[in-house]
Amino acid sequence: MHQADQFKFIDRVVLADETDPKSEGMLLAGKYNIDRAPFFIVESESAPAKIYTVYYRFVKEILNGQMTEDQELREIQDNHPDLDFI
Amino acid sequence: MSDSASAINLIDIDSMLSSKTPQEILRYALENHDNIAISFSGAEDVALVDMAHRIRSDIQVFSLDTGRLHAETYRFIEKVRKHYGIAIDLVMPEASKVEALVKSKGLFSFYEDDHKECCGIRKIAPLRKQLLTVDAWITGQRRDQSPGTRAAVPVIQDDKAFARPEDQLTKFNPLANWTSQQVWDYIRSNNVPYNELHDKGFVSIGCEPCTRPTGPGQHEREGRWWWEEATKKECGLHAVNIES
Repeated sequence: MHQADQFKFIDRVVLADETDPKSEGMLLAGKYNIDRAPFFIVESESAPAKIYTVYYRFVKEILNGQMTEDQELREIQDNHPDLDFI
Repeated sequence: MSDSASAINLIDIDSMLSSKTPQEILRYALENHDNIAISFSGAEDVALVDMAHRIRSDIQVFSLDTGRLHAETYRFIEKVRKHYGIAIDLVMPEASKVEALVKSKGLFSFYEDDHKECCGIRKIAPLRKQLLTVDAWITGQRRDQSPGTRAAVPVIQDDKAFARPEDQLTKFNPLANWTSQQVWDYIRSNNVPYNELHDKGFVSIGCEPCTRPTGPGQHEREGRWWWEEATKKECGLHAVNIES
């Protein structure tokens, strides 16, 4: 995100420390039923929070950024090792 | 419905379905989704095709034809098509992408890099394109297929990776809680046709260059991409550490 100059759009970063269930990131993961990191929470006054666990979707839909198809496919595979058995 | 409400709803349904049999889960999936398809790999997930066909004879089935499957698997897909009298969509990769990969890196680049680039082009991209056409899909994924303890395969999940933009795609894994043994008990007791590669020692079946028979005591994962470290790809947050 730093390389793509996208980090300026991130208001706040919290840590999900697997060894500390009370860490802010782990509490947020529990609140939104998220089982992987990183994840992105997009808040606005007019709508409920939107959760993104797929980075390329977050980049496309929120940051209006671009990712190559190769990057998208790589991310899907990295986050879904179960797809090896499809 | 908000993202969190939707997720909680699916978790409730997953909790409800987790104690059900694969057949009951399939019935739920087929009764709640008209535009739903089974992803059939040409291996023991034929059990799903058999179960689904008993519920709905016009079930949609597709297979990812990577172009590198065993001849036995192609013969088996054809056998299943005729046995059940169903159409099986063979989903193929984009020729120009395959040509570009082979031209730049040859036919066996996955032995030197890793399998993801090739799988991305031959399997994941076509899968993504196919899933844009359905509202829900069914896989034969099971928890016991991965050696890692983190690999959670729920019975039902909100598939955010492959959903159409601003839309929902539901993924069902009816065999999630079954073991390989239970699947094979079903296949044997119901005279379900199976891939002849299983009689040659293959447990997990994928592309020919990336699949090998396994010996006694070996995990089926050891028959796939054996030159890579099996647990390298495990990722995610340990659910046991997440407080709701």
